[in-house]
Amino acid sequence: MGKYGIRRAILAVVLSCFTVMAAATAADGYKIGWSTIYLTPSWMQQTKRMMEDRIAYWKDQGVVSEFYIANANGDSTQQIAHIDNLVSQGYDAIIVVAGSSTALNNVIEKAHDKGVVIINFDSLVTTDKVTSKINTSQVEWGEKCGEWIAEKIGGSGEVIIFNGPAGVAVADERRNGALAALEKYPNVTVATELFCEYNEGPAMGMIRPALTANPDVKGIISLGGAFSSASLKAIQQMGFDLIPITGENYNAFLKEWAKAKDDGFSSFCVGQPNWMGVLSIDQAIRKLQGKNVDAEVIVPLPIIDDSNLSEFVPNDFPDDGFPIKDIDQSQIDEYLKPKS
Amino acid sequence: MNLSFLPPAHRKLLSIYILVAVFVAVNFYLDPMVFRSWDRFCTLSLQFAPLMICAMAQAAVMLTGGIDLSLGVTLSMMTAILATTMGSGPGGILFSVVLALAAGVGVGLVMGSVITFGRLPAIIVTLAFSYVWKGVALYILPVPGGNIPTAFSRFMSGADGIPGAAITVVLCLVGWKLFKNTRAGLALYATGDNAKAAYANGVNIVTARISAYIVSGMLMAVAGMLLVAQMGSGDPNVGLPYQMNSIAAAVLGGVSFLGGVGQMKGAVFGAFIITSLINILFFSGISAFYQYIVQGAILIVAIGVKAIGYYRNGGEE
Repeated sequence: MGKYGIRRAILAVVLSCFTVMAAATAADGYKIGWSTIYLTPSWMQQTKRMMEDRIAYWKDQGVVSEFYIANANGDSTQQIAHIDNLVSQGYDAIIVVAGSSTALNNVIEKAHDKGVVIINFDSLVTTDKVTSKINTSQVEWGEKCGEWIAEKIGGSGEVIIFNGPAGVAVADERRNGALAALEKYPNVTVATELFCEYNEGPAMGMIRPALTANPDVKGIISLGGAFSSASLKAIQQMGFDLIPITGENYNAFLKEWAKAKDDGFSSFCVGQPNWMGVLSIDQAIRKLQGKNVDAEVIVPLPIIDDSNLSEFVPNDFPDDGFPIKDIDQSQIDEYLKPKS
Repeated sequence: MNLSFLPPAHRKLLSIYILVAVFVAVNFYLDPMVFRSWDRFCTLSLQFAPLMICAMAQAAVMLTGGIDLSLGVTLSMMTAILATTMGSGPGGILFSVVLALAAGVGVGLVMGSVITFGRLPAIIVTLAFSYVWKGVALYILPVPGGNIPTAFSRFMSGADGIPGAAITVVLCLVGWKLFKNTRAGLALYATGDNAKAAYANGVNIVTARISAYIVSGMLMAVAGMLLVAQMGSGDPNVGLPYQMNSIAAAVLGGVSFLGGVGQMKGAVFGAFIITSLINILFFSGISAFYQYIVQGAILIVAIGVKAIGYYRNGGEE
């Protein structure tokens, strides 16, 4: 072995050391970031708790090393900055609850092109350059509520549709679903449509005049839990007959419903499952481990009606909480199993 | 401390220069990539630019003693206009840019006229108009969407190595500097400082006030361009956070609520501080909820530092 041979040998040893070190770093686990538009609402708090529990499980397994939560507090442009920062910090996967269906497209596409795993749940973006989107169908949400009311009032009569804010994609999709469902019932007419932020106070201010102006309505297609709660309270306070109101698994409403059930009040609630956050974490890990994942996962909507209400009330949740059953490993496997 | 070696315009901004230096240093420490990678620098300049231009727009109005509470909604409306009208190709982009600037002139002309001729307080008039512009934005673009050609986004985000956003900010600052030294620019400062004295000296305070709103409206069109480039689309609700931040940035940068006092550079630096706070808090890893407290506290300290500089100069600014 000549002079150069020794140098080569040293080089080889150094290189293999680096390789071992690099491998060791990789074995330390994945860095996962969660960029969310809000963190303060109860729904997000519940989601955060479920996700943190799941991360704790994966950390014990040595699969995940870091989990960072970036809260944009309602500011879509701040969320763009957060995602940029997560990418530059070398996060392997970024889970996104989008503040705008289109505003994040550019930054997400850029991250995806760089090979970062992007999982988008609850509030979706329109770009397809993401690893996987996980959500319920908001159109189905509207359809189910619209159909239930139409059937409940016997296929004829006036209804009120209570929508989320104008210009918000989720609210728009639920509304489209409800309107599509009503097309099958030509004798059901829409007396008026309300648009309101998802908050009980302002909702109360809108439903009262709407009921006064339309005393003959037979039902309310409410597309948000706070609206249902406000509507039921308004009807009770104004002394109107208890007409059917659809809802969401919003605890204040579920409790009022349980109380008014004996007076003949009937409702039908769907919900946005918090454990979609858990599914997102697992989907990210599956992709990082080189497994095959679907680009779109549609989760069935949990339903609460007169028959199973007693399983959810009473509960320990706060009034603005969203009672829901936890997800178990077999459900995770079932929902995330690739269809193709 | 003898600071007479500095030109007066810079002396007034000394405290903000120090603050900016501190923020740059902390940012650099936490995110060393900024100066090492040109790509990261370009990305960041687009992150910072929209609030900088909004702060300039707010400052232009504040200099006349007014305030614009419709700024956030105007910004949303601009993204709606741009995202629905921008066609691909240079002609299509130019058309949309000109249209947005024209809308900016229109917005400024209408609000400025109502405030000046109606002799109504700016705070109420602009608040009222914020509802009007919100309706217009929703009419143009009911849900987030529209289309921004990739060429436009790539230019602004510096994907091809030319930092379009940074160039835009510099162009706006140069444009303001040129405007400031014209008759109309001087009239604007004079009106804000003391409208009666300005009037007595033959300044047309009506045109001065209206021109401030027009300049502000045009700057909002530019801010809209930066924002749509960042998003690749329009959104009728996206602008709201810029409302209060633009006021905070302008005040932080030394623009007075009472009018007549302040520099555009200052407003831009104020915007830099507010936006870099977001980055600093992000990289510091502080829990999401404490971040609000820290954010508020840092802003109070920053304004406090400015106030110290103010009193050191014997209250003369």
